[in-house]
Amino acid sequence: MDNGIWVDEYARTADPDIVAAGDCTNHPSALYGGRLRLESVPNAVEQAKSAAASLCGKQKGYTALPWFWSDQYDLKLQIAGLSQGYDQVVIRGDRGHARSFVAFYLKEGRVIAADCVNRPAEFMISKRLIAGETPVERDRLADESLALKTLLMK
Amino acid sequence: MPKIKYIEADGREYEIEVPADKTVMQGAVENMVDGIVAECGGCCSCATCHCYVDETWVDKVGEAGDMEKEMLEMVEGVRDNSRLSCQLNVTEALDGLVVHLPESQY
Repeated sequence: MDNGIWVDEYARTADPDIVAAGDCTNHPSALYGGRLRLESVPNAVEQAKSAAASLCGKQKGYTALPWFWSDQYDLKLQIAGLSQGYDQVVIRGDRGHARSFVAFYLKEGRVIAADCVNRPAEFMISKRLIAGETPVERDRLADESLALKTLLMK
Repeated sequence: MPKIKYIEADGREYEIEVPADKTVMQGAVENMVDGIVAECGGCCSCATCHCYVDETWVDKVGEAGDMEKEMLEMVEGVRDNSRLSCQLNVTEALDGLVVHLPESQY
């Protein structure tokens, strides 16, 4: 089919006895709307759980937030969400001089994705901000003097 | 071979032999212990291998590194004895280690 094997949120193809999971699947995304095909380890692992559940006659919807990671020498890259369609970027940290910063991608005042370089705490918070569709003020995202957890408060 | 005891939130206990070149996380994941997920496979990148080290073992496992500490800070239900089990290397000295698992890794 167009861009992968089409499955529903339970990893089932048009034939309910056949499931598919991982890089090849074109699946619905409640968070981003429409459908996605993701080539990532977490996608394969998490969607496989939904596929396995379907094969056992159970229903486990695949709703996990897309995320990615890579360790490149001394740089820990952690990416939460998908940035397509962003209308603002906010940088937290000194991108020019430090090997540690975050690029937050916002759409209509909410974080939709975050690229984190050596910022594991920000990565963890970003996952919650994105999944919770929490409105944020861009100045607070960039303000390093603010404790991260305050970003979760509305 | 060192034995690690995993205690799930619902009380189920598993005593598992884990070789000294593996981590506490691997011992769980390779033996079908549900309470540890380990999405990133042990890279200290996902915080879904969270465990609470039993009080009697806290001093013996040592302290978390900086990256691990930052990840742990943001974990739901984090406590003083929290560790990411992918960063706990099994050694003969940890034979008998007891870890308690959270209700959820999310």
